[in-house]
Order: sequence, then structure tokens, then C-alpha cells
Amino acid sequence: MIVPRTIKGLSILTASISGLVILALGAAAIFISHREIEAQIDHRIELEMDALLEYHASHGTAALAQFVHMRDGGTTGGTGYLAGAGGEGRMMLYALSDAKGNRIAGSLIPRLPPDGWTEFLPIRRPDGSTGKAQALGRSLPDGGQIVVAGDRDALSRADDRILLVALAGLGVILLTGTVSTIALGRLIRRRLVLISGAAQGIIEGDYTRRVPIDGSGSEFDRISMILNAMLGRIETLMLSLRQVSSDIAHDMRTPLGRIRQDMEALMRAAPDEATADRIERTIADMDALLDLFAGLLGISEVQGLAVRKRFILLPFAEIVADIVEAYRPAFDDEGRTITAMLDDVTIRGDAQLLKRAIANMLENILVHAGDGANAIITLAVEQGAAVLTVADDGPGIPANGREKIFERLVRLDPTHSKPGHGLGLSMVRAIVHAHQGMIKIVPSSSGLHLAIRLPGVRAG
Amino acid sequence: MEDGNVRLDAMRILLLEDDRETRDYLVRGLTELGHQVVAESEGKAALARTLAEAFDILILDRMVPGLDGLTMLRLAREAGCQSPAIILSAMAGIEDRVAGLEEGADDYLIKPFAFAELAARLGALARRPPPGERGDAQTLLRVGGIEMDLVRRTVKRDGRTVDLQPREFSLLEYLLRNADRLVTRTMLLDRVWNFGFDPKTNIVETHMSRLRTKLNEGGADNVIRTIRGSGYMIVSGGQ
Repeated sequence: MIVPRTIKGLSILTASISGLVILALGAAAIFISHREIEAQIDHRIELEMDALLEYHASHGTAALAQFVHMRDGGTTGGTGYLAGAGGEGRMMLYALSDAKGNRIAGSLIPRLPPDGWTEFLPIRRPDGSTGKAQALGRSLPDGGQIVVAGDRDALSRADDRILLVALAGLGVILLTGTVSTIALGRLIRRRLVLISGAAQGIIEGDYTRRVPIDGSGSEFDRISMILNAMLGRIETLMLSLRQVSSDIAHDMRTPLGRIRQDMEALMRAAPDEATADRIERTIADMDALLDLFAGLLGISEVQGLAVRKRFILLPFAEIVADIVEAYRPAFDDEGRTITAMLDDVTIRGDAQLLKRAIANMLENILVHAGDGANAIITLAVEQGAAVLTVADDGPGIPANGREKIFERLVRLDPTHSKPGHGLGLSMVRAIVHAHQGMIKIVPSSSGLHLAIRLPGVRAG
Repeated sequence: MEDGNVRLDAMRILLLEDDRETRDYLVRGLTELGHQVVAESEGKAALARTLAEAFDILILDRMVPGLDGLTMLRLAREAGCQSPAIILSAMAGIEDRVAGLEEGADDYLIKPFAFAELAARLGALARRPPPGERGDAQTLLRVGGIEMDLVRRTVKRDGRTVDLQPREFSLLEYLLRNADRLVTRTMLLDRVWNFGFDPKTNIVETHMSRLRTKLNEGGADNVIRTIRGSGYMIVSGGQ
């Protein structure tokens, strides 16, 4: 049994079941009425046969022949169910023959049946049309035969009418089913669009978004109200989380600020150069810790996506070129090269974050790609997307490091002798995701080859 | 330490800071530099002060009792106060900084901070025309033996033309505009490179060494002095 999972499927299933029920009811009605009418026709034929046999016994063949002649093709004077309900399709037919089989009376039954019941006996009607009849034949004491038949037309008429009603019902069911499926689908889609719109807003960092409520008190209104209560809760939690992290920042940075002030004062009052150097190193260590803390909070902040609120259209190539030029002397000083091939492309984003991402990747090359490794940066437009690749020609990273390099605090340098906290590429990935982009490592024969794909904005 | 060489004209400063130790430290340090400091620990009082008196500069903490520093600044701006303002806050998020600048702050310094950094930024914010400069419309910057034509974008050192890259030109221009004042690494990153973050590479140093090499070609004296642990300064007078 296939359980439908869509509104359309459910509606089609419901309409199909209703249709089948209508058809079954129609079939049952036809079956019952058919049997009943047939029984009535048979009963009438039997009654008439008894009466005619009695009449033959008392009045003789000639009188019977006249009677038959008179009644043949008549449509009135029935008995039982058909009594008084004569009319079209209720015709009775009679035929009389002598001992040699010669027809004495009755002309509407072309071929006389044998004795006993015969169904579907071909007949002719007075108007010239043909049909079928139920017929009962009996032998007369003189060797002749009397046949009484009832037109089955009433039966097929009743069958046709019931079938018509059933089919009409089926049509109505299918029509209302189709219309209600379309209307219901539209209603549901309209409300779901509102709900998914609000959800999309939340995903994009706008925690104030809510699902609109139309006041109809419908199931959708009720689920929307529940969703809104949930979204309100999320907003409260996000706000309090933000409050907590800024409280922590405040409560940590304020005492650290005092410590730093004291250190600076101590450094000025240092009795000798060595003490001053030690104090300076302590301050540098403290600043490094604060930097780590700020880096972690910064990644979380970018992942929170609230930064998307400030996105604007940006000339991406100019931003990349700016950063490349800023880092060129640093590469030159180490005898390394940095090459950029940049196509113009406009994207939506935050210039500061994008600069930071590019700077992080270049610094990653400077610090980790190995002595003499050069950087190659390209920006191209592929299928409307901006694709930035940042590659180096150093020894590359071990295969088992590929999945880890974007994680926080991961440093592939086993001795941790190189500077940094292992946050650079995590920040890059967070920034790329905030820009609805993707970052991946492109397999290459040498060096680390990063590719970033950001949705482009068509000119005009 | 050469902090004493940092020349600052005396300014009247409003300081809003609720942490007593930090407040005392700042008042002491700024007074030593020759400034007159009015310290407040509560937002509403600071706002009233700002609107009633004239200040050359405002130093505002964000999380203070009464009115928070940002709201105070917004209200002061709406009331017509145009004094340069620097936010001094422990709120260190990316959005915090943006919010600070959007509310009308001219600079945003995160706690803990180096006092030299604050002093240098105050100097740059004071909008005091550097020696030899007359108003904003000038097209020629002349400090020591360096002459910068802002229209033709040319630089001469003792009459000799010096060829500079665009970024080196901006770097020198900023140093010249702030002659005799300490300019820190982060200020240069912020104003010359427009980096709202702190890169781990010595971007400033690498560019600075190129600029120096070009300026000092032919055996001229080094005009850009390095203030150890703090930043750089171009001195207008004799060495």
C-alpha cells in the first residue's frame, strides 16, 4: 500500500476511493433492481400463463387465439410490480400454435421457443424495433403451444438510469476532487511560502522575522502562532547569548585592561632594560590571548549571519587586487612571487569580511606553504558565479589534513612552532558561508589549492 | 621610551568611563600629555556636560550606567555636537565596531588598549592642521625636505622626484598630514589600507621599508622615524 505524502496524492487517493464507492453502490443498485424487476416480470408471466391455461381449458383454442391476438403487444393491465404501471418498455407478448407447430395467433415473437423458460428471446415490437424478452412456453392439452413473454426493455432502461446516476455521481466526485485539490494545494502553498519566507529570513540572520497570521483561526494560523512562539524563543536566546558574550567580553576585558595599564606603568618604571623586555613580552602574550579570544568570537559572529544585513554590491576584483598589492612586498621580501589574474565580477557582500578572508589565505601561504612557495590568485566568472582560487606551489598538505584545515584551532604543523592559532581558514570558511558561497580544496600536484565559489550578480 | 616626543596640542577632553581605575589611569595619562580632562562615570551627566560645554574630543565607554555611550553620542550628535568622538569599549565584535561608527563615532578602540595607541588616535582626530598646512583645500604638503603635490600626485625629496606606488603615496600622505605626531600600525592599516582587522603579516612594515628606501635614495637622511613598539612619525623640524 502506497501512503501518499503530498496533498495532491492524498486528494487523488480520496477522490479515487469516493469514485470507487459510488461505482460499487451503482453496481449494487443495478444488480438489486435488475433482479427485482426480472422477478416481477417472471411473476407476471407466470400469473398470465396460469390464467391463459385456465382460459384455454374452459373456452377452447379459438377463444384463446382471439384473446392472444387482442393482448399481443399490449402495454397495460399488468400485475404485481408492473400492474397499472404500463407504458413503454412494459410490453407483454403472446403466441399460440397448434399441434403441428403452425402459428395460430401472435405475431411479435418470430421464432417460438421450446417449453419452459427462455431468456433473451428475440422479439419484434409493434413499432418495428426489435428487442429481447423473458419467455415462458407451455404445451396445451391438444398438443399446441402457448408462449407468454415480457419485454426486457424496462430492465435495461432501469439499468441505464441507475448507471447514468452513478456515472454522474462519479463525475461530480472527480470534478470536486480536482477543484478542491487545486484550491487546497494553492492555499497550502501560499501559507507554506509565508512560513518558509520567515524561516529563510531567520537563516539569513534576521531573527526578528515572524510568520504572518491572517486571523482566520485556521490550522495554519495555529501552527504559525506556534512557530512564531518558537522564533520568539530563538530570538530571546540569541539575544541573551549575545548579551552573555558581550558581558563576558566586558568582564574579562575590563580587568585585563587594568592589568595592561599596570604593566605599561611598570614598564615605564622598569629599573633596567631586561625587566622592561620581560614586561613587554608579557603584554605581547596577553595581547595574543585576547587575539585568540577575539578570533573565536569573530568566527561565531560571522557564523551567526547577522553580518548579512550589511551586504552591498561590491566590485570583487578590486577588493582582491587591493589585498594582493598589500601583500606583494611581504612576498617580495622573501624572494617569493604573488601573481593575480582577475576578471571583473560584482558580488553581494561585506568588503571588510572579504578582505579578511583573502588576507587570511595569503597569510596562510606566507606562514605555512613552505620556504619559497609562490602564490597564484585567479578570479573568474563561471556560470554566473565568482570563482576565486588561491593556490601555492609549496609542498602542499598531507592528505589526512584536508578535512581538518577548516576546523577551528587546527594546526597541521605538529610542533606548533609557526605563529597563529589555527583560526585563519575557519574564518575564511565562515565568511564564505556567510556569503552563501562554497570553499573546497582542489586536488593538485603541488601546494594547497583553495577554490571559493560565490554567487555573482549579473551586471545591470 | 620615546612617547615624550609625541607632540600634541593641549585639548579639552570629555572622558566617559565608569571603571574607576581605568578612568584614573586615563585622566593621569592624558593630563601628563598636557590635556585638560573632564571625567564622567555616568551617561546622562556626560551628555549634559557635552551639551553645556565645548570639548575638542570625546572619549566614550559604551557600557556605562545611565545612558550607554553610543546612545549618549547619538543624542549629542542630534543636538548638534560635532566634536570628534572615539569609542573606547570592551565590546569587540565585528558588529559592535560597525554600530559604533554608524552612531557617529570617528574611531573605535577596543579594550584593553595601549595608551600610546589612544594618544596617537586622539592626535589624528583632533583635526589640527599640521605645521605648514593652511586649511583643507591645500594641494601641497611640505614637511622637512619632502614636498607632495596632491593634484599632480608627485613627490619630491630635496628637489629630487621620487616615484611612488599609489599605496606608498597614500601612506606618505597620511604621515605628512600627521607630521610630528605618532602614527600607529593599526591607524595606518585602518586609514591607508582600510583594513578593519589586524593582519598577522607586517603589511605596514614592508611597505614602509620600500617608501623609506625610495625617499632616502642618494644618501638622504631617514625622515620617517620608527617609535619602538608604537608606530611611526615624520618630524618636521631638524633631526
